[in-house]
Amino acid sequence: MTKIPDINACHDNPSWLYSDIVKDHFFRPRNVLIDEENYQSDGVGIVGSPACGDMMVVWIQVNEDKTRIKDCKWRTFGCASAIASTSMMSVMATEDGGMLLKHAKRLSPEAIIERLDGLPAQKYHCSVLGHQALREAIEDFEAKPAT
Amino acid sequence: MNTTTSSYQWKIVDKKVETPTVTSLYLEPISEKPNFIAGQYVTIQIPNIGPAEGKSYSISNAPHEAQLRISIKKMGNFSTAILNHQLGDTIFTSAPYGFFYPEPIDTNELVFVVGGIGIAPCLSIIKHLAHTNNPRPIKLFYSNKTTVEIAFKKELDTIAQDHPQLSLNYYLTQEETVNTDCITGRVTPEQIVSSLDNKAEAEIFICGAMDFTKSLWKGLHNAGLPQHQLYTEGFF
Repeated sequence: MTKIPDINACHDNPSWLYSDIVKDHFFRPRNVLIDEENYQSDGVGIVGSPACGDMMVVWIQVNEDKTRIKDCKWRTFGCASAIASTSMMSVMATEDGGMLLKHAKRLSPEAIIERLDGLPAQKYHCSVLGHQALREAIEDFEAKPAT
Repeated sequence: MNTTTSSYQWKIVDKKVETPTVTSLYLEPISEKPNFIAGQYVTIQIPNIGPAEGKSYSISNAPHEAQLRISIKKMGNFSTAILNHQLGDTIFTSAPYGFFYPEPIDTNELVFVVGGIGIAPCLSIIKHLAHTNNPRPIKLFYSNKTTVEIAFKKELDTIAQDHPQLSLNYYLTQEETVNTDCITGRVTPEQIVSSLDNKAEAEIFICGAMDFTKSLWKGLHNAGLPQHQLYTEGFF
């Protein structure tokens, strides 16, 4: 009889199986923004295109002294891994009083994947979209004239 | 906004074999040459071959140079199709894109940890910093399987001769060292950390195959370097 893989042990298994944290963020994504009309963002980043299969939008608000991310919202046309990765990224960007913009520019897929307790190797590229969109959003904010 | 629609046409004006598996294409813009930041990549699209969105290749020379150099490792149908192009042929790319570059105002120690063809964006940055006489201390840890697979060794050695702030460390994982400027074995996080002038300030760029990037990121993070001092570009 074929042994059924233990889905809870997927972090030890280089396979397509997802960790519990990935599943949690996929089924209950944090910080998704549906209605951007009523959201006042300081910066917006868009990467990918529907024609390529994935598209990601990230909105950020920064704190008063313009050094930290105060809020991070996102929406994607993407797969489970892109959803879970970006959900986790939005949590990392805003926890503990918000990430410094300088540090957020260095947020890497590896850091996000570690917090997700792993991601199938074939899905690494899905974790790239979120941090690129975040970086675009920071660039967008920094390109605006100071008010 | 990042889109992968081809926006630039280039003529292939030179091809240079760098190693048995890596060949550089020298591209001349047919219309205007786009500006780029050293460390960025372009996405190449070939009709009816590979993914519709194309594949990304890092630029391996510096922004001040007249031509654009793309260094491609032959490892599948797509890269083979690109390298089958002849001198004079036209190829299409996106605008340069990516964030794998140091901030120009930073002066802290810069460390590149590179596996194989991951050298391309790092070489672009090193060439740019050397060209602009940037005094920022730079350390390169460059891992390859064998001596013949070290792409751009002569170019790096030449830069280091004129720029003593650049320190080069070559690693060979599948060859006993025959030449004194290479180290046998894998580069380890401990070796990198122990070489740092100031562990709290160094900025480390890791670039290579996904497993290499993931393993070095994890090792350096476990060695006490916070995530914001570690930045990656994984090739997949």
